[in-house]
Amino acid sequence: MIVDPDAELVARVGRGDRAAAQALMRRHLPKMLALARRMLSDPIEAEDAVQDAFMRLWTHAARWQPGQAKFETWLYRVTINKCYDRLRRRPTALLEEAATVVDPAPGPEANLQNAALAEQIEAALKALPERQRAAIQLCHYQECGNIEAAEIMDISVEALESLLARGRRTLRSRLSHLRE
Amino acid sequence: MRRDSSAEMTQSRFAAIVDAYGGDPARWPPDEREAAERWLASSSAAQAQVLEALDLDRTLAAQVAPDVSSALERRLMDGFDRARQRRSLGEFYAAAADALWPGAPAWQPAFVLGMALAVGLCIAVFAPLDIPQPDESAGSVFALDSVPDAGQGI
Repeated sequence: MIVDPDAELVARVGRGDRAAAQALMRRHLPKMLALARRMLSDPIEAEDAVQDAFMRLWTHAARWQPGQAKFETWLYRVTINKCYDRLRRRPTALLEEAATVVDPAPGPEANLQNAALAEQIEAALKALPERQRAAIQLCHYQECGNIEAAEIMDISVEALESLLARGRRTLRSRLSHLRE
Repeated sequence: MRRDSSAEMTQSRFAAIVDAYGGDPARWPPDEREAAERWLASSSAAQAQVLEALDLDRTLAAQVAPDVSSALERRLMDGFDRARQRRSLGEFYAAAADALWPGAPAWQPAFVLGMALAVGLCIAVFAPLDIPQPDESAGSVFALDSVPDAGQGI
């Protein structure tokens, strides 16, 4: 039996408890938004994807069966799927643009600025194939364990490790100028 | 699939773990962490690999999580209110159906009500109505009678 720290809140949300909905939202929204932002690289679209995921939560909470899967795993899976849907709806031109490597030659002063640094990391993440990006988001930024991340992505742990290794290799090469 | 936690760590497996999960042991698979940490302590090549991986970890950590706007929070809670309203309406219909036909699935009373309505409409449209029409002469008698002292002045 899985011990789920969200089980009680989800049950209350299912009964229409607004305070529980607010608590659940505050607990998960920052991580979900960060995940969607890194997946989509577009703050407006990321908010829309998160809103779709929460709408799914609000309508399905009453039917949630505790003990079958961890709630957070389900919620991340919904969020990632909403991001995949949006990525697939994007025109090809945008996907090509996303796959373009950013100019890796900023001056050393710019490297010292956090904003500029974050921008370059975001661009490097954005250029990764979507499944590699999702694996990095879950294991590195969301701090999911390997089994949980594989479950969220509906793949085996071996497949997850392969995605992570390829993603990290690409990032290492694209961000090498930041580490010199 | 979980790996066998009792399996010995090998150089290639250690390299695969660090390649995938980075240099922070906290991110390594829990069932292999202990063996991997032992390997790390005993191998200078492993230590060099971890240092290199930590370098990328630190770079990636520079990207901070975005702030959550209060406008987004409001939108999400508005969504909750709408969903709750829809659910209440659904529950109202379900309760009404249960009162009409206790224990039956919701579609049964809905089906019976729908059929009753359809039959009623068919009767109204197609069945001949045999309503007796009032007699015209009786009407005129009534009309004459209803005028007080109509002919008395003639």
